[in-house]
Amino acid sequence: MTEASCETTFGKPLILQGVKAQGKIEGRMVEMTLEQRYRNPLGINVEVVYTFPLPYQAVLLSLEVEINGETLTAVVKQREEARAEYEEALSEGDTGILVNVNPDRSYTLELGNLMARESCLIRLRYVQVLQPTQGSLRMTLPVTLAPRYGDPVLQGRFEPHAVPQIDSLAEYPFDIQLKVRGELAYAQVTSPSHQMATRHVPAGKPSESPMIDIRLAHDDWLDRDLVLVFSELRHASLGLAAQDRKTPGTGVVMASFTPRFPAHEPLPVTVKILVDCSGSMNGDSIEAARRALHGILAELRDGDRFSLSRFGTTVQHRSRGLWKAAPPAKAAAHRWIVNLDASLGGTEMESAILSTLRIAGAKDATRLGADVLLITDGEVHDIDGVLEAARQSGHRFFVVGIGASPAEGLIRRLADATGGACEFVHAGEHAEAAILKMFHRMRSLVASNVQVQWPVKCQVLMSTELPLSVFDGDDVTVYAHLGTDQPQALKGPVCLTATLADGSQAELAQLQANFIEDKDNTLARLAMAEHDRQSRDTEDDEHGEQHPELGALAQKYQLVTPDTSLILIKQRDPGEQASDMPELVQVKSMLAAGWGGHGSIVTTEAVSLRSMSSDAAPTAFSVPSVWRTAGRRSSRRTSSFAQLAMQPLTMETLREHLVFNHALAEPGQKQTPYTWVAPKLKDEYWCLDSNKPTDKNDLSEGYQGLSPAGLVEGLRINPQGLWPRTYRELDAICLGAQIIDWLELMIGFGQDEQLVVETFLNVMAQMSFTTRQAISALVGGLSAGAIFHTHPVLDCLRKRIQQELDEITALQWPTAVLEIYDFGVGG
Amino acid sequence: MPPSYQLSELCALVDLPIRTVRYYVQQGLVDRPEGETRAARYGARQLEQLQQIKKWTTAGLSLERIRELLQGEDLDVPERGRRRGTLEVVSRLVVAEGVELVIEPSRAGLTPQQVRAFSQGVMRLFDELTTASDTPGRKPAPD
Repeated sequence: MTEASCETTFGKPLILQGVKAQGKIEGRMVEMTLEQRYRNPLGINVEVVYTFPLPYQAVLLSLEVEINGETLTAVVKQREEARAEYEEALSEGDTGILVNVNPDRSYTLELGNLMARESCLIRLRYVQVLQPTQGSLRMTLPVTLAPRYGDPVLQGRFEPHAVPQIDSLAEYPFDIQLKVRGELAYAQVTSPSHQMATRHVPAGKPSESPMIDIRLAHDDWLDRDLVLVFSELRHASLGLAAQDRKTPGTGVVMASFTPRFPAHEPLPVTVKILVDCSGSMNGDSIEAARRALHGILAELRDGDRFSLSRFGTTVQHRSRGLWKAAPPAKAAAHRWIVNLDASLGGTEMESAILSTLRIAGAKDATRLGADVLLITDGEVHDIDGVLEAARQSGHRFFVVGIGASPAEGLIRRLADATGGACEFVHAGEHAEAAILKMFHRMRSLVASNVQVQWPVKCQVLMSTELPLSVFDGDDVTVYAHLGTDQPQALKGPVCLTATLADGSQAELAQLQANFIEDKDNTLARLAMAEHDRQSRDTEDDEHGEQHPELGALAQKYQLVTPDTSLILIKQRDPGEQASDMPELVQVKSMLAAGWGGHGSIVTTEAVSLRSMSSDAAPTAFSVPSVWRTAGRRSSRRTSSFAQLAMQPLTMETLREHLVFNHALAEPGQKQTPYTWVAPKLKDEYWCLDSNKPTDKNDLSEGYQGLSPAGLVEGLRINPQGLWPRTYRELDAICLGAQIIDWLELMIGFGQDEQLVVETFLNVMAQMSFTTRQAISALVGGLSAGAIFHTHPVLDCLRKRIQQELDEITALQWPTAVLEIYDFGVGG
Repeated sequence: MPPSYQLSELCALVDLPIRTVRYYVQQGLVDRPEGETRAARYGARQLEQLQQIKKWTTAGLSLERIRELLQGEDLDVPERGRRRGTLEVVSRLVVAEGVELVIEPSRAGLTPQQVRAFSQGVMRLFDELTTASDTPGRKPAPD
């Protein structure tokens, strides 16, 4: 690549020339070397700052630099000490390299005093333990950090200089080569993200393993995470043991269990579905979300319950309570999914989660806690707020991470903290496999009191925690640091046991570790790294102030943690030292392909615009609400009554809404004759939460909208020509969502919309609740509008509606109708 | 009084990490010191700038905005429009061959409904103009 083509249109030349990855996979461990090539094209000394991701579970082992004819290796020191050394080196005119880890587990590299026109090569080596789940395994190499919602410094806790930068015009070449041996060499390998060239090399000798050589099929860029999927994997529990060379008399065992539960009937699920519809989901991600949702719908069966919600800057629930998974609800869900778009602004995940958690089912004391199925790209900085809300909810979070560069850290932590699980679906990938796995987990027996028995002849000095939940077929990896004089004792049996829901004890897995030589002490480092991460996650992250011993441990085992950094100083000869402080050059990541506007918007927008006028049978919720981006006060108004009625209403709010929609004249103004006039704002005509005491935290109760008397009044004072004819128009006259849902999903399932609405209104028109209405009826004012055809379908419809409304009173709709939020064929 | 603080003293006075202060200097938010590297000296001016920056970053202002304020702009003046290199998410509607409508809804302050209404209006207008046209050689808009 010539120098000219390395420039962006800003005229600033790119200092990162490219990244090359080389890795090998043995058993379930991947060891990867990332080579970053830098060249300073300027005539002055510069300080390069680059914030980049590594796989979430990766443990950084070493950093090496090739510069000016020398190869140097970095060491791990305490953070403050390393920083001081680095700053000192720069002020002396020498070169320094400093690597720190950020709160989101991305890393920031600072290369100070890369001299004029100088090049260098930095090699980072990391190791990662792979976890197969239910017969497949996904390996991700993240390469770029997508733009995130929120403040990176105040919420993401980045230091100002380390804030990740993105440049939509930057281009860096990317290359990768992998050699796979062992168990995974027998699997099927595909990549949903890149075109790969794979070559299978059979085993030379019977004792050897075959090998798979994986490379990129053509030149590629550092613009999307590399995802490899290994499927048709037959995996079983596997363990490794080695001596800890740093601490004589001790050893480490790594146990990767594949739990196997006894066979049982799949359990019914209660799932609250929450979809991210913020701007960052636009393009490929919202498409993938829709496909995942259709897959979820297909998996729901009799006995399951679900609710639908979507969020961005605000949250919108399809219903105030849970639905039974019967055909009418699934039909409504299907419509809701089709109308999803990424138009809801920013990503206020915490408040959306809080609101979703309050959705409740009917008063059924035997129902267990619900699960939340969250579909998101996780591009948010405020991780801690979300985690706290999720933890306290008592719900398990099953998260489907969407997109080319989803924020793996947030998604995994959300799942881990609540005892749920996560799956990742790449743009363009089929979501079905991921959804099937999720349902397998949600329907499986819950195992409690899960424990590990380590080799009996060893003393357990430290052991890492199991995840909150253990699922059938999903690998879990735990480490123990054991005291023993005989290394062979480390090979003793290790068991995983649990108590099942029926009270019985079960052994879920058992293994005997393979003893390895491990000259680099990698196993011990992995164990300590996991121990360090777990110790921090459980308490407030204050950079180790509450864990003074973690800093020392990290340095002993040469690990990069929030307490430590990698530091390397290259001293220059007196004539070659820099004479002034370096200029800053930040390496800006490429924009993640498929993010936001980089997806395929054009064709879908054009098509949907054409058919907007013939909006066939929209539900109350397909009317887009008048929401603006955060910060505009007028965003409280909405043209959808159902959305408005999600919150407790007062007469004042109602009045505002009616005036805004021209259903009530402003004082002093004349009512236009061409729109529906709402009945007076009297208590007898309107049911509002403020009229009666209700539990504000329970979204399943509290009908808000026209009372039966109110609806009849409305029909009385408006000519029949202005009566609503569709479900959407029923919402426009402020009939509550529960009644409309009952009409649409129970009465109207498989029926013509206008017929149903007309019949319903005619039945209502025959009723009279107030004296004035009774007189009107006598005088014939109402019956003029009630023209009944004698048609079997209509008759049937009419009879059914009359039957279900049997217990109606002036102020209350029948409870059977209101309790739509747990309805279903067969009860 | 001539500038007399070393970098470490300046950082201690304003209670910011050394790297952050150096970052602000590199970004041009804080004036360069007198002298270089070990001989660098900072003064009251830089101290003032850092205190202002600290106040504004805690309030959630972006660094670009802080830069404008430090250059003398009023706090009340609304944020300037787009800067070079700003990333946006837009909708691009193909009205016809050679005619496109580009909308960034949040900046335009439009709701999805308004965007649709506007786009429909534009397409209708285009159709009206081109089918009614009697300019020779011009074909009506393809459907």
